Parts: sequence; C-alpha cells; structure tokens
Amino acid sequence: MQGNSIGFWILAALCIAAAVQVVANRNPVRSALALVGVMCCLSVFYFAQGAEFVGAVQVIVYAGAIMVLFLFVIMLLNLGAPNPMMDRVGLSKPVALLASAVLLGSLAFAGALKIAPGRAVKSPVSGTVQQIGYALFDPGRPWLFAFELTSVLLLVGVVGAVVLAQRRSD
Amino acid sequence: MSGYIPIVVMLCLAALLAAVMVLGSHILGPHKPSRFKVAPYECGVTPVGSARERFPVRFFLVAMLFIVFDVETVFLFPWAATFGAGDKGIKLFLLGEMGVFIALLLVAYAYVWQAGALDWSEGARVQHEATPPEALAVRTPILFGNEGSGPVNLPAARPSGAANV
Amino acid sequence: MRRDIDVMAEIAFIYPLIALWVGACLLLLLARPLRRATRPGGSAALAGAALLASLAFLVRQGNEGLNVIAFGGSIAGDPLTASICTILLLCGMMAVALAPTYLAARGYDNPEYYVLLLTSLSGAMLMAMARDLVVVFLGIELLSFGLYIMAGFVREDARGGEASLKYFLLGAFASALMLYGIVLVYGSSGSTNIEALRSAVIKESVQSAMFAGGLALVLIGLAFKAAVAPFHQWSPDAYEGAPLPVTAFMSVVAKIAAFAVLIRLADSLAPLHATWLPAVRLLAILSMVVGNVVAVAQQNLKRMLAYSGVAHAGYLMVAVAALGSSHAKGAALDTQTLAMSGAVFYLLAYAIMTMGAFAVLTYVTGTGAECQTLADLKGLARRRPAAAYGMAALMLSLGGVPPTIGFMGKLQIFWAAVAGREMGLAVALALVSVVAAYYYLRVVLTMCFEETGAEPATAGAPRAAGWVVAISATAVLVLGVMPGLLMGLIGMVR
Repeated sequence: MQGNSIGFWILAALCIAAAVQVVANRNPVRSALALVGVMCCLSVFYFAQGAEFVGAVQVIVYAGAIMVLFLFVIMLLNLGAPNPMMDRVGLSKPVALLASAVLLGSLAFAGALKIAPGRAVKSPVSGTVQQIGYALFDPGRPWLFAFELTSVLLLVGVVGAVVLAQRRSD
Repeated sequence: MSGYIPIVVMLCLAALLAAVMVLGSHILGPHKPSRFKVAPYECGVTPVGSARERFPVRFFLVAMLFIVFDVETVFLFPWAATFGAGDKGIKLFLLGEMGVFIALLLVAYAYVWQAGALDWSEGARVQHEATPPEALAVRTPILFGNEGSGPVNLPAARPSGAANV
Repeated sequence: MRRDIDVMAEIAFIYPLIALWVGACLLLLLARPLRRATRPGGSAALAGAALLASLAFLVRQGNEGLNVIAFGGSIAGDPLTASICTILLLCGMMAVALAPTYLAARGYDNPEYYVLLLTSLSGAMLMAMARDLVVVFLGIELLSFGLYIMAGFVREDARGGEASLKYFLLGAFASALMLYGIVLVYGSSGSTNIEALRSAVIKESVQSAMFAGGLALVLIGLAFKAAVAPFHQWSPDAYEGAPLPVTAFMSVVAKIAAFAVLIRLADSLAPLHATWLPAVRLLAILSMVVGNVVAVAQQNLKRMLAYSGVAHAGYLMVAVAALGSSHAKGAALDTQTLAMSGAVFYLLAYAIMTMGAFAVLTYVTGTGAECQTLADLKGLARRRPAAAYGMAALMLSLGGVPPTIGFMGKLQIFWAAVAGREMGLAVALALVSVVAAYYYLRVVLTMCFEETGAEPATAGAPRAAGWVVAISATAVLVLGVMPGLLMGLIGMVR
C-alpha cells in the first residue's frame, strides 16, 4: 500500500507538472504535447482505479483523436510560432490565479470538513470492457437509449463539420 | 486494482532506456555538422519554405470526421465483449442495437462521401477554403551540388510566419 | 439481462422522434438530387412531411402515450410531455415554412438546414420526454448542436459566424457546467433518474452541500438555454447575428425545451424547495427586470425580441416558483395544477407570439436585405397593411394587452403566483408589464404613424411566411378571446 501511494504521488506530480506546462508554455504545439502527457497520466489513474475501459478510451479518444484535432487547429490558425500578442492580455493572469486559488481553497475546505457525499456511490460495475458492455446494452437499463441517441448526436456532428468547412454549393 | 508500483517501474525503465539511447548516441557519435546536415529533413528533397505553414481547412475536416468515427469504435469494444454471452435471442437483439447505431453512422458516411468532403483531387479543391496564396507560391528548388550558390531556405530565412494569421 | 420487456411497445412510444430522424436521414441521403432540383422547396417539403408524420404519431398515441415508461425509465410520457411535444412540432412546422425563400435568396436553401432543424427539434422533444438527467443532457446537446450550426448557416455573413461562435463557446461552457452538476447530483444521491431523485429526496432527504451544488449547476445550465438573466448574455448577439428563420426557431424551441425540464424538475423536487426556491425567485425577478428595462433601449427588433424573450423567461420562472411555493406552503393540489397549466399555456402563447413576430420580419424581408431595425418598419401600415395588422396584434399580445393570448397567459401565471402566495413575484410581474407595454407599443406606433420617403417594391413577399403571420395573428386573437379552446390541451396537464 505504501508503495502504491508513492507511485500515485509521483504520477500526480508528473500530471500537474504537465498541466502547468499546458498553460504556461508559450509555444502552442508544446502545450498540446504537454496535454497528451496529462491525458496519459489520467489514463493511468483510471486504470489503477479499476476503470479500465475509461482509461483505454482516454488514450484512444483524447490522447489520440482529439489531440490530433488540436494540432490541426494550431496549424490551421498558424499558431506554431510563439505569438507576442498573447502576452498583452493583462488582467487574465491575476484573474486566472485568483480563480485557481479559490478552487484549490474550496477543495481543501471540502477535504478538511469532510463534506462527503450524502450516500457514497459504490461503483455499480467494475470498469472492465465486458461489464460496461453488460450495463450499456441491457434493454432494462436507461443507458441503451442514451447509447442510441449518441449515434444521432454523432450524425449531427458530421453534418455540422461538413456544412461549416465547405464552401457554398452553387 | 493492480496498483501503481509496476507502472512507476515501467515509467522509470522507459525513461532510462530513452535517456541511454539519446545520450549514448550523442557521446559516441561523430559530430561534423555542415549546412545541409543541419537543414530540416524533408524526405531528401531540399526544404521549401518554412515548416510553419497554414494548413488548409480540409485537414481539420478530416480530423473531425476521424473523431466522430473514433468514438463509434469506442462503443464497438464493449459491444463485442458482451456479444459472446447470452442465447440466440439476446444475440439477435444486440445485433439489432448495434445495427441501428452503425446504420445512422453509415448515413453520415454516405453523406460525407457525396458531399465531396473526402475528395482531395484538384478539381474539388476549389470548392474548399483555398490555401493562402503565399503557401502555394512555387519556390525554385535549390539542388544539391551547386553548393554555396544560393541560400538554403531555412525557416529563419522566411519572413515571420505569424504575419499572415 | 431481462427479457420480459416489450421492446416494440417502447419503440412505438418514440415513433414521433423516429419520424424526425428518418426524415433527417432521407434528407441527407437525397442531399445531392435535392440540391440540384430546379424548383426550390423540395427539402422544406420533405422536412414538413417528417414533421407532419411525427405529429400524426403523437396524436395517434393519444391517451395511450400518457403513461408509458420506456427504456429503463429514461423517458416517459405524461400530459406535460404530450402538450410540450405538440407545441414544439407546431413551432417546427412554422420554422420550416419561414426558411425556403429567405435561404434561397442567399443561395443556402440546402437540405442540411432542414436536417439540423429536425434533429434539433428531436432534441427538444427528448428534453420534454426525459426522466433521466443523462437523456436531458443528450437532448440539450442534440438541440444545441443544430442551433450552433444553423446560426452560422449563411457563411458569407460575418455576423452570423460571430453569432454562431459566441453561442457555441458559451453554450459549450454551460453544457459543461450542467454535466458537472449532473455528476454531483449522481455522486450524492446515487441516481440520475428524476423519479428516483424524487423518492430519494422524500425518503432520506439528501440535503448535502454536494447535492445542492449539483442542482445549482443544473439550474444554471437550463437557465442558460432558456436565456434567463443573468445567463442571457449570449442571446441578443446570437439572435441578431443568426439568419431570421433561425432566430425564430431558436428563440422559441430552446426556451420551451428548457422550461419543460425546469417545470418537471420543480414538480419532482418540490419537497426540496428550500434548496432551489430562493434561486428561482431571484432568477425570475432579475429576468423580468433586466429583460424589460434593457428592451426599451433597443433599436434593433431582433435584439428587442431577445430581451423580450428574457423577460418572458422571467414570467415563466414566476410560474416555476409558484409550483415550488405551492408545495412549500402546503397549498391545495389545484394550486400546483394552476401553476403547471399556466406555465404550459404561457409557453404556447410565447411560441405563437414570438414565432409570429419573426415571421412578420421574414415576410417583410422577402428576398431582400434583412428587415431588423425599428426604422425598417416605418410606414409598414401603408406599405403592407396585412403584415402590419398582424404585427400589431402580435405586439399587443407580447405586451399582454387584452384580449390577446399574451394577456390570458400572464393572467394565469399571475393567478398561480397569487394562489401559491408568491405575492412579491405577482406584484413584480404586474409592474414590469407596464414597462413592457411601452416598447411593444412603440413598434406599433412606428409602423402606423412614421413614414419613410422610400417606396420599396412589394414583389417577392414569401407566401409561406405570410401564412405563418396570418395563422399566428389569428390564433393570438381567437385564443385570447376563447382560451377555453386550449383547455383540452392544457387542462389535462396534471
């Protein structure tokens, strides 16, 4: 157990260091790569908590697909070079610091007061792929309908991407 | 479940291996830099212009479509893992569930196809956001051999790429 | 897995949704021939057919659809659901009728527009049907995705792009907050099902800070979608920049869907009113005051109607507050019925009035430049008398002048507030109505008594938009005189 928590703290430190890099680095591409680091650390946390499926999805979808999209956006906007314009935003830094201080403070406060959930939720299934499949595709549970709705949502996403990216058709 | 220790050990090993490889080649390898050696490597062709170039919006479109279909495959994993269990009726039901899901995404795919979003031929390009003109401007390639006769187009030689944002 | 579930019966319950989705898929598959057709309007006709089919399925369900619980309790039917879905479908038909001429004049009468409209509407209907917060969230996203894209549909128009982007960024932020709220609610109560939440509330009174925080975030997310002050900042810009038919659609449908969820949550979580009632009261007051006061200063009608929408959201919040308050003070059951039916009646009234007002603007716009400022309406009574009379009726109704549906709606909410002993809100409602009357009447005066030298061409007025104006103006007056005609629809709400 002791070793486990040491491992956790090392990974947590890595994760936070990468997250700070995401915000602090001047070069957007490096920020994006640091974000990959954050995602991978999170994925390890999920795995260690027994949420294997979520951990894998974190890598496949976030660290994979979404980061590719981020990089394309950076290149689309040609943000590759550090942009001096970004330093001009004067007030945003203190406000951001204040906001994170408030969030950290409220977390610490909640931790100190032990504002625990009214009823601790035991994870209803273990997070293996198969268990999630049983929960997701059972017609007696609400998730099946939500799953089918997702496909309509994805359809709209595809249509929206094409509509916005294409020129007008004459 | 399994805990963090193996992960940390694995991380350390990976970091160690990477460090040994990079440092090792740095220490052991000979260093005789020339102008062409330090130029960015673009498949053996002389670099043309800055690598920091504005991408056409079509890359972005493809990336977005990729995410959508990537999310679809994510749902396929638990489905495939569940499919083995249960009798024939349940299997049929599961097949129907995924059939509806896939059918809707096939409609999306058919739409994308007919809209020409996957068409990268020259004729289709006019329909999309054009690449900015300076990115299309042809630069005379400088061939290897006539050393010193012209400047190699290193990134620094080009006017700032951020100017056309 | 359980096998005793009659899946076919459950699927039959969502036939109205399936009709919309099938229509959307057909539009996508036929996109190419539809775009190349020589006569425009094919896409609109197909979308209209899908809406009609959906309405037919809804009507055919009749009373059977009123007590269905489907898909593991994630959606269910009841009178509130049925009436909201009917209103939404009618709005969808009007929005489809407004679109073709306007879009064709700009070269954008594409099938994609109607695909987005149909899926958006299905999202709104899902929100009305949902009994599970996860489905509520998916419905909101389905509704919003379409709206974000439709707002920027005319891509040469930079303001449309701006509207689309602003709406998207703020909307995504609000969705994220709401999702976080749902997570907190789930974490503290162990369920996302609204009925299960209700029983958890009654049995063990989950009154932890976490639950309250989650509920607050859900409320913020819904208030954003309904454009309730102070979460309304996006609406004037989004309304102004979006194409007129889109503004008409989003102003009405998003608000109705969000209020459907708010009403249901207020009804289900009424035992927990101590947590949320003060917040709802505050939102109601802020919304009524901010909406009406800022609307006075607007010269642009789209912005004015945006702020008027904020004000109307405030009136509806009064009904929601009355719903909780009637429970708080142990009032009789019919007080809750009064609040609920009042809210639904007002939603219908708001839909007709606002849709009609935007239809007038679309009608006057025709194929030309968008008619959107007060100055554009000068002398309308002489240029297009029919449209001006229609607009006058709609404006009087929006202002709550008798004998219009707007007056009847306000009266019902006023009664509900009095019966729920929300005296402060009732007085505020009456006071701000006076301010409201001013800026709506100003539109009427501008149309009738101010003249422009220019004599614009009268050709090119879209006939479909004209029909929408005629129907909504008639409905506003007829239902204002005989609100009993609606009681078949509204009276069964509870």
